[in-house]
Amino acid sequence: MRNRPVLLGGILLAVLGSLCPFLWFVLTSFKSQIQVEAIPPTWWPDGSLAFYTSALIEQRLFHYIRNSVIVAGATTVVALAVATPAAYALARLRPPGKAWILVGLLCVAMFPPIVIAGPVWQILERLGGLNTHWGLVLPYVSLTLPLAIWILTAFFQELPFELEEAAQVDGCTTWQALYRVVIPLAAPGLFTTAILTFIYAWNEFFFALLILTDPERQTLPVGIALFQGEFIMPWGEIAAASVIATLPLIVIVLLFQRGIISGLSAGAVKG
Amino acid sequence: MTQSTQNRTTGRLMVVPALMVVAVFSLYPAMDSFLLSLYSKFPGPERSFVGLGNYLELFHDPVAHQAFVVTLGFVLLSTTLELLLGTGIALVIHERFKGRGWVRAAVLIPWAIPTVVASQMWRFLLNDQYGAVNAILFGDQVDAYVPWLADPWMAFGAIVLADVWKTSSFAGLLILAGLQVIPDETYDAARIDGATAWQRFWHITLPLLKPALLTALLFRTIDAFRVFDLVFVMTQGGPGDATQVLQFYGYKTLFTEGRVGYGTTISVTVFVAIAILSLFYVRTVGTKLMQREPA
Amino acid sequence: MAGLALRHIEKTFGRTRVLHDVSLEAGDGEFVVLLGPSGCGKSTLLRIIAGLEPQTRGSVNIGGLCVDTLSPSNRDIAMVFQHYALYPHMTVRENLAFGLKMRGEPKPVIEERIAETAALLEIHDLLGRKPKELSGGQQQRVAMGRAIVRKPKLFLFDEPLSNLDARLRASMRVELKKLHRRLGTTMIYVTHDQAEAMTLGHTIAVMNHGRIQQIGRPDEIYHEPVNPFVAWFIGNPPMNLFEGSYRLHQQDLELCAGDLTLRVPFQAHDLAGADSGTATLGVRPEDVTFEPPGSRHVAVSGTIDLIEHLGGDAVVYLIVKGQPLVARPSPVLREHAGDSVTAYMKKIHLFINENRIPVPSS
Repeated sequence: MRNRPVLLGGILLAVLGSLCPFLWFVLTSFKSQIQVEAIPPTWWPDGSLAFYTSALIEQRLFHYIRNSVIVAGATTVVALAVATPAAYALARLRPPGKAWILVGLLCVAMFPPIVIAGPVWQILERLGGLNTHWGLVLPYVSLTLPLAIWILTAFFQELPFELEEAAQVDGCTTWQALYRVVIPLAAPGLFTTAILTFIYAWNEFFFALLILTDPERQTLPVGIALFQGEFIMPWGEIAAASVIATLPLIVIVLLFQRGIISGLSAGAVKG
Repeated sequence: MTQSTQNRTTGRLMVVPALMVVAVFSLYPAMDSFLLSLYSKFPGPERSFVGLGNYLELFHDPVAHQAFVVTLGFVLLSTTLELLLGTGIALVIHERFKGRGWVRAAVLIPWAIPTVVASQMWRFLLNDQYGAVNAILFGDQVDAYVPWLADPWMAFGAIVLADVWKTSSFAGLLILAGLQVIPDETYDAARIDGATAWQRFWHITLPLLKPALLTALLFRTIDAFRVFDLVFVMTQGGPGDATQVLQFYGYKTLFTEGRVGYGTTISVTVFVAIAILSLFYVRTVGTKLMQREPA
Repeated sequence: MAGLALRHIEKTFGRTRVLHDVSLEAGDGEFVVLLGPSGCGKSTLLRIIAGLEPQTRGSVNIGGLCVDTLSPSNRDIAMVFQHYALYPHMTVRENLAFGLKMRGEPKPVIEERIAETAALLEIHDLLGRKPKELSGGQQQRVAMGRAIVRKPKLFLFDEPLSNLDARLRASMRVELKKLHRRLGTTMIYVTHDQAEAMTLGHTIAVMNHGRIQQIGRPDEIYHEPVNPFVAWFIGNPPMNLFEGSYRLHQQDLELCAGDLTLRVPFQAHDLAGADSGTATLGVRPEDVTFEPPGSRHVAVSGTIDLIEHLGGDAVVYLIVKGQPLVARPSPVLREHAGDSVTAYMKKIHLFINENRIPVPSS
């Protein structure tokens, strides 16, 4: 009844188109310097790990990884801690101006980063937040909050209201109902939001570039963008670092594909 | 105190921290930028109010013109391609087949890859000597190898290609969400009514997909206007000013040259352009959604 | 001659077989109901008739023509869906016109047919509206209109009334019946609601686990169910069934179900099988009374557990030697919960090896 060949062709095209370019980068990372510089390029690597050791040791990739883990982790925790009660209140308690708040948040999410970058830089300079991790986490939280609140509000709205009423009849306060009944039930939604926030913070480049000028503090995207060799571009090391930076994201996508898809569409379409 | 006023108070308490963060790190900076764009120098002893002088300068700045044209072209071309490819992706991953989860995950990977990594990757793929693209197109004929990123048009095409590769799947997800709310029965009814596969797509799928398509268009347009990472890594705005997008031009003026007033003016212009476009879209999407509501 | 003939239809999804050797005929203008619990394969069968789903084996004939290779649109059928499946972005008029337009009918014909159908279903005022602006009952009418407007050889209904509330469902049932009388077209109707099946169908095909259990007129199905499943599925409250071991005597058959022993008048030569084994004995609640009826009956004594008053009559839940027995006696009884009573079973159904064995009744 369906057109199988067309579907099969579509699947093949989508998968190959999505994976092949990056696959070539993965292959490159396992080549030797001679192979990388071969003209015309060679396809199959000889399985050398030289680029990984040189990226990790000479380009001090461990620092970047550590900084990215700290910044992305802290952003995720803080953003969730702030967004969860806000989303719950918006979904359930109908504070005055609920619709305006949600629309306003959506507008804020559409701000071009550059329009807020200058003043944010000044604020951080005054607070001594330049070249610190918390100085980057604060704007990240602000930038991820709108999407987090939208997704969580959509999740909370789908939970049956009776459950909280039952909890309140059983003697819970609003806060207790939130922490004892709603959050455990909304765990999948919280988890999805956490993943999306983490991916955002892990990948963000613009603010990281502005706020972190000290190589000791820089995150992976900044490191990868600014990789320099002495004479030529260190493509092998860049490829190795890219694979390392991308690996956790690929694992996340493979494990939580379902949640990511529903979370993104909840944030975007239900609104 | 009644239950409901107590709830309201708690409700306010729960929302306030989030609003505070957003106010301090997004709202206030945006408003501050508006003010800054009216001054000629960094706020300090010798700053002077110039009113709309910066905007006048922008109006006569040939690089700004170029940046505006490049940005607009980038937005139009990339969002169009992304919507087309995204619809294709959505149609594929909406079907039921064995291993669909894996296919969906594979399609999501470009979206998850950091933009900086994707940029370096495409920069290397398009490398004039070691790049895979040249190798695939020309094989051993090394003389025919093209320095893609050194040609103005090719470089522009390259950032569009990289953007389309990275974000089509995101557009696809938004469109998929639209496909999922169309019940199977509707297609069955159309088949019985005698619609061919193409007619079903044209008369049923596409009209019902309109809200999702508009949402995807809105999100992608706004995002494309803010393109920065790709240009920073792949071309630095060059060659010439062929890939000089507004956000990158603003960044250079603001942070490399330190011309705060003028740089902010550029950023505010980007902001206003996005705002106008969003307003336009939201109105169309909004009215479309209104029409779908029961009377 | 128009109508429908299904021959040895089989359907498997992967490794699960959902339809086993289903054969069914519907004469011209007949109203056939496919009745069964959810998951019995009735909807799949309907989709196979429509051509929305290919059968694994067997053939479908519509109007004497094998349609196995034809697409749904070429089978000259129309279908009313469970959730109506109206096109949400089109007005009622456009919904009605869509099928005709796809067939390339000229505009005046389309207009005429729409006017005709709108008059028949009294939906003239709704033509300019979108489906979301209609109530459930109105959507239902439009869905029917979309089927009627095409003037098909065969109508297919997939639980079309299941989304309506009870009152509306009853009135739509009556309208559907009138509609069928007026159009005189063959209709195949899928439902899990036995009351719908009994009132609408000329013929009912009871299905379970992908097999047709019994095909017959509503009264046949009710009075002479061929197996315990049909006996239990038809009728409300369902038939009392006692399963146990039986032994054949001179003039009667003795069945032991737990502590309960029932002796049924029976002629041994009626039974071709063994003198003993397991059997199922059934009696409809309507056939249980508290006053001794005529000659042939089986009497048991028990206590009343609960009485449900339904206005005109009542449902009485009895415990008889540890076994539940439901009665729906008329006229209304004077007993109360807790009373000990003697109950008389008027008409007994007997099943051995899942097959009906005729029992002489009063």
